Amino acid sequence: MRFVIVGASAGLGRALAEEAASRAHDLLLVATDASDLRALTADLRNRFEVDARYICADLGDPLAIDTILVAVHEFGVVDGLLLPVGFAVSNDDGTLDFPTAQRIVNINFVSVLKLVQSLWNQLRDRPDSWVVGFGSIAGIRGRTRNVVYAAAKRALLTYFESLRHLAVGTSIVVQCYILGYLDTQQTFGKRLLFPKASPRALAKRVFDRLDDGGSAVFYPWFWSIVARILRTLPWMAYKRLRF
Amino acid sequence: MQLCVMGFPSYLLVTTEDTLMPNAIDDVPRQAVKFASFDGSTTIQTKHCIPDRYRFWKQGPPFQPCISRGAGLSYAAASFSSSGETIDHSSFNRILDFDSSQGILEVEGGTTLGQIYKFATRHGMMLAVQPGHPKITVGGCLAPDVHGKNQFRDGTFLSQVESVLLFHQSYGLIELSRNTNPELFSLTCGGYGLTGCIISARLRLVKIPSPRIRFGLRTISNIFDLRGKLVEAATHNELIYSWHNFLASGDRFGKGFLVTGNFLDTDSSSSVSVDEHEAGNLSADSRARLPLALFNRFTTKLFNGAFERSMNMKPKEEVTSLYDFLFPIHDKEIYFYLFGRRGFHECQIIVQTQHFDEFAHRIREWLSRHPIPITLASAKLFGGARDLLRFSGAGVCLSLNFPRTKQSLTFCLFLDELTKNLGGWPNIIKDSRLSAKTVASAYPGYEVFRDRLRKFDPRRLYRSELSERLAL
Repeated sequence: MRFVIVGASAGLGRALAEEAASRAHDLLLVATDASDLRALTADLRNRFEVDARYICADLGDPLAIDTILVAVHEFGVVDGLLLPVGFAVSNDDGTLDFPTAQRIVNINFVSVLKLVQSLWNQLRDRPDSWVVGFGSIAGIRGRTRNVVYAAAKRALLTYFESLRHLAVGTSIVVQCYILGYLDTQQTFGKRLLFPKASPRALAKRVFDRLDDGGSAVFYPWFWSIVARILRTLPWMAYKRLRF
Repeated sequence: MQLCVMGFPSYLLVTTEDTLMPNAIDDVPRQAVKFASFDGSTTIQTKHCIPDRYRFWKQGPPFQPCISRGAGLSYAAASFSSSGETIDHSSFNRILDFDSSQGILEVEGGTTLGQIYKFATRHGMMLAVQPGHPKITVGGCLAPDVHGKNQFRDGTFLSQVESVLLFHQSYGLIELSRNTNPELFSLTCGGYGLTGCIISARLRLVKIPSPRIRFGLRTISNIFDLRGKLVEAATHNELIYSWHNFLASGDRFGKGFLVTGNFLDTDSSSSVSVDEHEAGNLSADSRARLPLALFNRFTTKLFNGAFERSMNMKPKEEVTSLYDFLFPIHDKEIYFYLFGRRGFHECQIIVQTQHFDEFAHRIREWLSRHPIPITLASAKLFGGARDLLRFSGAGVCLSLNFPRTKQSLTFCLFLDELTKNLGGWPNIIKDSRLSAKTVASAYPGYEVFRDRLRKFDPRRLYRSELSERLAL
């Protein structure tokens, strides 16, 4: 099968690309840095003998989606779209300048929306196809530490719920993983409340469960309990939290 | 595109659009970590980062003292220091290119020997020279210019290196080979990571008839029986090493086995499995889990006796997988755990062949008066010329392992003196206790190496505990 992975140069994106290639899937990888993508696609071609290509695009710029779509067209028929896209800044505390805030929304939500929208009809025509998104526990409830990022991820969760609804009765399987801490650069060296999950283990799970139908699942599973607690916490109590 | 940078020595630099971009904000997080050398001798708290994108390799200020780290399996503390941060290369472990007609493989510096084995044997090839554990990285082989079980035939790791892409904060990316920046190439291969970070390397693979080895075993009656058998075996075997029992007394001191390996032809029938293996989880931390050493004079005698019996029960010839022969430690990691938290010494010394019997005789004499539990004694035949700080040159190479105790240091000092008197030289990457004075007197190339390194990098940005201890 042929997959497009957006945000593929490192972390979860790279793990997904390696897992897909190990299962003999052909790939078009999208990320910002040519050096990383060149190295990764070369490695996948050498080790797994798959058709691995790349296109550089800055998802902060909505026009970049057009560049990706041209590359997708050249890549040929696509069976799946994996979207491990994420961008956050450390000072997202309500004081961000508008261009940075817009960039966060563009990368985390608008780019995903535009890509899925552009490829939806093509995917619907395939006998089996997949759209897999990756949300964040941050999208469960807004908070002071990542004001814009949480909003963008909340939008993404809602959008994926709508997509699942849209996909009912079609050949498209829409899945959304709501992620807790992953062992990547974003969490390296940080003291965290809960253990970090391995991107490789998540990538394996994603491909193991492709045929399980549409779903939205927390990963690792215990984040569903955290999310439930956060959702049910009354505002009187929630507003006192500083996290 | 290549260009020379004014104000710096004229190194041919590799520049691409990416490296010419303004210095990106270094957003790679750092963590304070306590690193230990694999032999347990040195523990240092330092800053650690694991970059995973090429944008990390940007030249220019702010200059930071640092050193590269591969698998972290060096016996000496070569990948960390208290005065600089450690850059982990584990994310840079990709196979970049393969020319099957020429057998040239281009890999990133963090690629492990296990990964290369898996890839190369699929194409009927292998790296001719490799050390004994599949988790060791290409950068970790290249920096100390390691050897395998065929040094007498194929030389050190350097012999199969076509070119290296080096990163240095002052210069950026530099292409090194025997034709391009040859002096820096020579300084880097065997330069202990002190010339910069090894980003990638092009390696020459050799064709092999099959990933199976005809394993041969010959008995050695005592250590004085070794020299002749080793030299004789070298004339018609591809891979050779020996094992000796240094706890056997009298005329049986150093009795053991000579192990030989030769490739089997493709059509040789064999039921040996050549399945791909996963390397065990070996690290300096996991090695030091046991609070106490389980090796002492009594248990080591039992251990050596049991190993000897198991070897005696083996057939004198059998077919084994290349993987098991190349990486004999890969499923025997428990050996290192038994040294406990305090760790062990490895003294690896080359003495010229004509002096080996006297060397062995003096060791036997010393050990008879001051018993030390020698857990491993193993020898290989070496050849080639000596240069800079590379562990090479003609002679017999003897490795000794023993637990780190109060008495063990006295034995090390005795070995230093004996090695010096017989004109031998110790392996810098194996012995974490060697002083600058010992190395300077054992390596004629010490001053040249030091001078060249300082000329190339006057700021001495790449440093480790090893380089500081040896005043490099």
